[in-house]
Amino acid sequence: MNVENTQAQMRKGVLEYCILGILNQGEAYPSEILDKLRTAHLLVVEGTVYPLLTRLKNLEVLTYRWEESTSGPPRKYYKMTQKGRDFYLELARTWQELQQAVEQINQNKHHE
Amino acid sequence: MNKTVSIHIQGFAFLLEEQAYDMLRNYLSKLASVLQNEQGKEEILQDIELRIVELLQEKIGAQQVVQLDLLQEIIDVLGSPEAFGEDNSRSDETFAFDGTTSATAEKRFFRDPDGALLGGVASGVAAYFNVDVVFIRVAFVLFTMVFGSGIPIYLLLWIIIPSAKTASEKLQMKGVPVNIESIKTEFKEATERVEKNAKKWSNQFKTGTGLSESAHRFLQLLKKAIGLVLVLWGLVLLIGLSVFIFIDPQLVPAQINGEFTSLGELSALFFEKGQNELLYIGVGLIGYAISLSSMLTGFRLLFTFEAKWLRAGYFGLGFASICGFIFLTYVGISTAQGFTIEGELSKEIGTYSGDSLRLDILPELHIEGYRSYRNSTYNFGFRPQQKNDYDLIMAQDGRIFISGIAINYIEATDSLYHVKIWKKAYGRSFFKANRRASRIDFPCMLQQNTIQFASGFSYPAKDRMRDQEVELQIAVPKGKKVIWNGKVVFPFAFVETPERISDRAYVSGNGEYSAW
Repeated sequence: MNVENTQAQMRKGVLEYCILGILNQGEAYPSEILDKLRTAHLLVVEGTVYPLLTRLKNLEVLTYRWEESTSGPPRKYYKMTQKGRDFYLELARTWQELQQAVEQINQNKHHE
Repeated sequence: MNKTVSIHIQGFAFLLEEQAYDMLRNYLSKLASVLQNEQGKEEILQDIELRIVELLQEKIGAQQVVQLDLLQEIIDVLGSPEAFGEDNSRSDETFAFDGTTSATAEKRFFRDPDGALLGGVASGVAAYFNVDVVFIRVAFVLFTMVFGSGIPIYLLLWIIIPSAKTASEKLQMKGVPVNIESIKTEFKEATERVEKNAKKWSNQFKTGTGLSESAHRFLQLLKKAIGLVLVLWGLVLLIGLSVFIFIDPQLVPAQINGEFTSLGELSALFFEKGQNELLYIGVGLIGYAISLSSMLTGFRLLFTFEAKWLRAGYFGLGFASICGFIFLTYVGISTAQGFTIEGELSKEIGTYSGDSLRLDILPELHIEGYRSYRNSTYNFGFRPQQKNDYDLIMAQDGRIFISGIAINYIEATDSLYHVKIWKKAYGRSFFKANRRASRIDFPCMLQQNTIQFASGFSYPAKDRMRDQEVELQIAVPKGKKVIWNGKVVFPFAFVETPERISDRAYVSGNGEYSAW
């Protein structure tokens, strides 16, 4: 088993949650999202993000609008819908539970 | 120097190196196929293209042209096509994005320039079907042997199948999933291959020791291929020769007894008795020696065997072919001698004192009629030939019939027409040549004001063909005429060259008169 694989796998698992987390703070276009993810060392390759965004949009978790850019191609600004916000809250709760679960297990381990 | 390609991505123009272009096109088509089942595939692709535009604009800087390594950097950032298609929330396949598991990649036909002997078609096909290239090459050779179609098929494939130029194309050719890792591996391997080969060759040049293993393998393959060709060619020759000698098919469009003749029958009209047989034996000896020895050599190359009788076998075959050559030389020389001395006989058949002499071919004296006349059966009658030219050899009932008669006009020394027949033939001595000439039968008679003659002549087949000819010589008194079919044919001036008077003419087998 390759450590990098597992790491990438774990990052991928939380990717959806993190993207929603970024968009929870406001509108963003893909490059912005990518930058933030990269800064947080969550991104392995950009390619994974695009299908995810489209899928979330198709699930009506996200909507987008086009905006012309002065420096390059037009940008797709993504925004969360009401449904998206509910979805995000669900995920946030799950994440907290997971986090607690992981901490609890590791603590138990240390105490033994 | 590199070729560049100008392209538009989402409405933005870029100039790419050809290799970079190939790579990009490949990458995008790969993406499209990976995202095949994805909802909103078009949208995702559009998003990615927009991202590529962004990245290109960001990174291109002062460079005018997008180079391969820049594009690779971008593709590196974007990730391998496999990373796109996966639902990242589940399944083990998620690991595949870094290329450590073998996601099945779509294979494409490419020619393989690395494994090429010629155009890399065979090695490309082999890579596509994942079989050893030797089988494909042998198949091509077999196709060429059996149907002769291997070569056009090869050329066609050479033209229509693109060569795998880029690393990603080479991977697609083999069906290895295209992603950054595998492309890198391919590059690394290619570089190592080149270095290794270069070292090998330079070592060989330095030390002069034997051939490298791959060269040796290639020579082995070549040996087998040549062996196969030799065996098949020997077999074809053997069969062809046997058919020619023993079956002697009637293929030649010359008539003997009213049918197509065989080479054997035709050569019997030309070569003396005994020599014709010798000729056949000579051709047979040489032909069988060549076919058998090439088959033997072919089998040796194919199966690599040695035997004591091999030497004796080759010696025997060599001896046989030398004998054959001696026979052929003897037949050739002796036949050529039959053409060394010309014999001519002439006979005046009459004179005429009128003002105009007529030439005429009587139906029963026409070559076709002449034949039936000679057979005294009259079942043909006069039969005009459809063909303009009737210069075929005909042989019937032991006689050879030659169509066409030459006419030669000379000036008479007195006031009479003199009609003379010249018969010519060749032989190895005056006696033989003259005897041949005397045996030429040319029906011709002068009746009142008309020369009636056949448009051909005949001689016994046992005389063989020794350039027998017949010429009708007509001495014409000054100011008098010769008429053919109601037209003056002598004195006859040509339209193009009126100063030249035709003094020669030819009457062909179908009874057509032409002035020379």
